[in-house]
Amino acid sequence: MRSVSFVDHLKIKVNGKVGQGCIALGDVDGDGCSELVVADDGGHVQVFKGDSTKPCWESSDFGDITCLTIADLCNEGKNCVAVFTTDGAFSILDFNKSQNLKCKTHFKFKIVVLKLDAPIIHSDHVIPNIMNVLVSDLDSDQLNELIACHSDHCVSAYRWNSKHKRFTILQRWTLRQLVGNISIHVSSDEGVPSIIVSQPGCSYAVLSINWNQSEAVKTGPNISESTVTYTPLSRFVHIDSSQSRSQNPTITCQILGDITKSSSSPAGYFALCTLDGTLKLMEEDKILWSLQVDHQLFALYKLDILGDNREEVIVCAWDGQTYIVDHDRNVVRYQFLDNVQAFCAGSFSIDSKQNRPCFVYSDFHNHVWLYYDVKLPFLKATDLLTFAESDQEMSRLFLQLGATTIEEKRSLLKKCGSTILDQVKLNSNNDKDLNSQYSKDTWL
Amino acid sequence: SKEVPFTYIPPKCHVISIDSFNCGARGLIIGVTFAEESGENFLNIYCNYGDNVPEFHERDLENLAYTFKSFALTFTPFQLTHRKVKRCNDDSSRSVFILLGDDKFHVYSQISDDVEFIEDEIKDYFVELVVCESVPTYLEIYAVDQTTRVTAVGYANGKICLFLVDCTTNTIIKSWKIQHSSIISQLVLYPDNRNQKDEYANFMLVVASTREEAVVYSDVLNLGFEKPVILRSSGDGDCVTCCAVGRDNCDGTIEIVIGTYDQRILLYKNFSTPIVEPSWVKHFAHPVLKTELCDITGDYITELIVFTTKGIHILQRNLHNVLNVYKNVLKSITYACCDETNK
Repeated sequence: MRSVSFVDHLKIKVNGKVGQGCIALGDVDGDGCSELVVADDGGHVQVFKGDSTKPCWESSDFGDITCLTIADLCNEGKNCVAVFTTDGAFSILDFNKSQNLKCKTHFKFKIVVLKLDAPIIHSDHVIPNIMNVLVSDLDSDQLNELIACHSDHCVSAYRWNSKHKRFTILQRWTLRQLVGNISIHVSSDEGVPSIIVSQPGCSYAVLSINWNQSEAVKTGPNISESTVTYTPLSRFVHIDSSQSRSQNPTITCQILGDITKSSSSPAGYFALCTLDGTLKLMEEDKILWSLQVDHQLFALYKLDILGDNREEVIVCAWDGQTYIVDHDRNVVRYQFLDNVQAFCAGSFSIDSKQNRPCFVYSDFHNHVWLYYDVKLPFLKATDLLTFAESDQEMSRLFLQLGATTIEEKRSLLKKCGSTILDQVKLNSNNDKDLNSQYSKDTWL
Repeated sequence: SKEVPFTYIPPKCHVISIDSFNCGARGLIIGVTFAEESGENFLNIYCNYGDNVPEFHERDLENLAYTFKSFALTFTPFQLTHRKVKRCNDDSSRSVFILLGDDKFHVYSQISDDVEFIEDEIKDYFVELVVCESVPTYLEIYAVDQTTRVTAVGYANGKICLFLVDCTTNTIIKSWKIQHSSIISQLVLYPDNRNQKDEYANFMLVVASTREEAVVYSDVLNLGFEKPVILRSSGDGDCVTCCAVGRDNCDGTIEIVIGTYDQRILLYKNFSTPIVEPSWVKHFAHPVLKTELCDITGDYITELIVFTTKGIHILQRNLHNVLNVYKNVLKSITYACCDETNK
């Protein structure tokens, strides 16, 4: 397994522990460039922009924050930051009105709802114990919904009511086991999204929505059962022959959907990872491959690191070992220098011009490390011979020159090198032709 | 890969230098210098004295790890290197270890294939190394042909001595000296013999000295140290630790790589002006200790190997670029073949 190292980073000082889910990357101020939002356990939220390690905005007393998200939650066509705490309080921050979100300058921001307490939310459904949230349009009405995953076997869907400035509950699902996390997945080419929920032991459940259906269907029998489809682990055991050790049925599991296969198809893959070191890539209900590692995988993200319009799977372990895996199971690993308490992969703009793939780690010593350019040229390293054989034009040239065996091809490559050298010796008097251009990607 | 534990290297010692060579009769021979916690220094030479090993097997490595000769050193060892050399009054040449100490140069050799290594008189092997200007820190020897060699020595006081030596008679033909202002960390001799008529022409000497910019002296065997080319911005940060020279596979020109303790690798090309700016700079996560340009994948394309305090990085050329260049070369070869058949 090839290991890589990343160098360019920002080391950001934070005031407390930053848990998983309390780091988010996204465009908060509508300038097209991504910012970093970090919340620590002291209720302190900071926004970082560009190459500064000083926050461009910060505020405290948010309470015991469990997760945050950057999304168009209010359906106003612009992103806002939503912060959720254990006791059910949440805050929505809108940075779009502040014209210049610049570092070190105090700017006026507009808080749409600040510390709206739980009882104000519609009906008796409060939203405490949120572990993670996601925002997506599930019923194809062009309006986003908020899906919250609670620590008590529950998942609930809300919609923002802009008139009354509150969340309206749409649906609530109760699962048999504790939910690891939730994700959105489009499994078919029709592009209908569904909610996938990870369940202990590397299994998952699919949640279907019924709030847009008629009352008759809703009040039918087995309402709670019919909206949850369990996909237990036992179904996979015999399919997956590569599984080398038996799966712990209680192990914590993470899920991630909508991993782009190619730019043409709306349907994607989804992935599962467990704390005992299993990573699985799935298509519909089929396991494409599985990978076993000796590290405790706790965070699962997707990111296009190669720049080929396909998203690679990124998994991170508690000890800082990070794996970047493509759809063909080529793996590259990166060892972060310390133990990790939170990890996030996404895009960030260091120069406020262009978004670049980046990794964010939070260690146990009150620092957040932002590696802001983690682009890789390839995952699987090859030598020139193998590379030449895979190239059509080159194989044709090999054939024309009568090279069929590996040795013959190798000697042709050697001949190329010596021909170039001979040409240099012949041209030794006119040095000016030799100024070949050196670019950043000459050495990879 | 396999881990072979070497006997009698204490677990808490500091390995200072290591070197190996292949001897026709004895197979692989490995030399290791290390300092124990007590401050005592040792040189262990691992050599399979037992049976003749014409071809090297993996199992021999385990045997090798047990048979060694240990030398207690009365000096502080630095670089350990080896050279195939003819001893005075001997008929054939054999490989010997050369160890740089803080007092002088030491040579360890076998009188014949069957006997153990012993420390021998340096004057019988390398006449140019008898006089020591200061504490020697780096030694580079290059065989120009069968009868002559070039020796470059860097010292801790910044002095560099360059010798052209007749190997057969072990006499100095010509020598040059220059004073730099800081410890010499590495020297590399590289022949840029585009002109084949004169073998001594266009020998370049790359000098990495710790507290100043790296310098290339071109055509050293004709001009001595008269034509320096300064490699700009190599000395900007911390110590310059290492250098390597190779050829660009795409255009055949010479490339010089400089490694620094402030975690940089700098690459220089085209040395026609007295001051050269780096063509390419890459930052690493840890200080760079040593760098090398060589082909390890067997495709005749050099890789850049960078040894840092935390591990080894292998950088590959952009194969897309190389392949495009090679395609054009192969096309021209194909046309040449077609032309010949048409005639």
